[in-house]
Amino acid sequence: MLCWQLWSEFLLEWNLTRRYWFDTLAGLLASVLFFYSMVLGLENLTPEGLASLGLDLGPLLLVFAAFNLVVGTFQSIAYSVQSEAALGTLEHLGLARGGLLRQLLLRALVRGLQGITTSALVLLPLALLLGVRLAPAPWWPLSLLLLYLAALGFALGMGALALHFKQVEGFFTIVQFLFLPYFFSLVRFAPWMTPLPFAPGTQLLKLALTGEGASPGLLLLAFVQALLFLGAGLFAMAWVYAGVRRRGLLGRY
Amino acid sequence: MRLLVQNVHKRFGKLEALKGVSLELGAGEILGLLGPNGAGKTTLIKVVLGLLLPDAGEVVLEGGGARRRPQGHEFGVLLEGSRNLYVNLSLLVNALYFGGIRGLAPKEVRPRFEAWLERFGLKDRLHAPLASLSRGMQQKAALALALALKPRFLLLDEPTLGLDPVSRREFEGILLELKKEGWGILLTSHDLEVVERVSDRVAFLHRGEVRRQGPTRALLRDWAGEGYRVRLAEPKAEALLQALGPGWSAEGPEVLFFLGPWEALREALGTLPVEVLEVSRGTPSLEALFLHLFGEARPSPGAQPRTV
Repeated sequence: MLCWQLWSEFLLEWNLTRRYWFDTLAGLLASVLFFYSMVLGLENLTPEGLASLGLDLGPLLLVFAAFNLVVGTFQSIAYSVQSEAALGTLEHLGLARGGLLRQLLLRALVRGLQGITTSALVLLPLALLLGVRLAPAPWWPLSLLLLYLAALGFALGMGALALHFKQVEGFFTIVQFLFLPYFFSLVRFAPWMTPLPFAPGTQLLKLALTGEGASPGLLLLAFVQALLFLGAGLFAMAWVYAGVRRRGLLGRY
Repeated sequence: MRLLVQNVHKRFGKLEALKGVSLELGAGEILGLLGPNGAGKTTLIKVVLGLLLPDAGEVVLEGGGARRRPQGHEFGVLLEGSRNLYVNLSLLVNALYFGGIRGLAPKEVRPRFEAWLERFGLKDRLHAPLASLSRGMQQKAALALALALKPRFLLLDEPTLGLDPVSRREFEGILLELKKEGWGILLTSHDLEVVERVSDRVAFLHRGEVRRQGPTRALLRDWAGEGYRVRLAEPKAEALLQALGPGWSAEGPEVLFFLGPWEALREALGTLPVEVLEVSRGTPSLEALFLHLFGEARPSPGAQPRTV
């Protein structure tokens, strides 16, 4: 039965992508252009280019891919809640087998897969365009998974906010603006950054895609952080969901 | 299998939305849940569905010697307004999606959904986006989906809202067929004529309390007794009321209702300036009882309505 619930989310995603294909393509192009214009800007900042700023194009690109994945994921549940509430179908999702929380998690998984595909579709042409060579280590899917799980935990927390407040776009704009410089500060990764949110996962992904080895400590920390974020996110979502059911706010927009 | 709502209380801040509501609904039965705006009907439906947590009381499914809390996916639901399906997607995708999230495989949902669409005359719109359908068609499509999910009970919140008279009449026919087939249906509607014609029992909810409930006919008979329905050839019922004495009420432009003795009716009929097509025995309308409970006390019979 769970498989049909998951399948239904794939069906919905596929139909929405097909229905709004133009916007999907434009979104992809926007990501590529956004990063490319940023690199061009940085290169023209000094006559010597990026090297004089102590920036390496490879890590910069990989951190951008991690940023794309995290930002795409953290919005997925909240935007689902917001749009379903606006359409009036959120209460019907609450009638899913196992309840709303389970269905939103399944949707987030599907959107996560879509986010990973989108990130790859942004990363690969940029890597080709900028001449960045990727040498993925065999364990790269693990690094991706850990970063994704941490992002999913954060997404559940944001979903909880959306369940309560419904419209959260303004707040998300703030988060995105905070995330952009934050993630780019991870390009020049230093050991003291390891416990920072998303830092171990991003560093792990960076190392995995450039074929470098990672220390077991970094791996463990990324794992622990993913679990912590996920646990906190699930708790927040379940707590807020019970609250909105008590206060009768679920279907309101 | 019976659905039992037992002593449910729900409070929103200072507002006590439900004050110890108890109802029951069995298979093959239509229960009309009536009340003015803000009476607590939709709140009660959401409590039954588990979308709202009650402060006290419980909702249980009872049958086969077992009692348990029902799950949301066991109900077929039509919520008020056009907020039951994705308007930008086709009927089929909607059916497969909403079936899927309830754990149903496409091969289970699709044939049932297509069969219901065929019955409602919408089979050829299977691949059309919901938005391309008229309001009445959308409502029928939503009902077809609710039925295709093979729920234990149907909860219909204002299903006839915004439907034209033809669609409303069709909808009424569908409800009666479903009842014959053994579906248990909880129906809230301000369309009291429809509720009166299809419901086996009604419950009147007011400010979170059940004011009256019982079998529809018996409730009306016990309230005011039996009277006479007079069908006119012209739509002059309201205009004639002024000239007629106590005990008369208008049930529509061409229908008068009289509560009183036959002799008094015969005398009044002789003075009517309009041709009378039909006189029949019957109870007052549900609308009259509704108005008596929540608004103007009509009909204004010479004899006071009996209290149940």
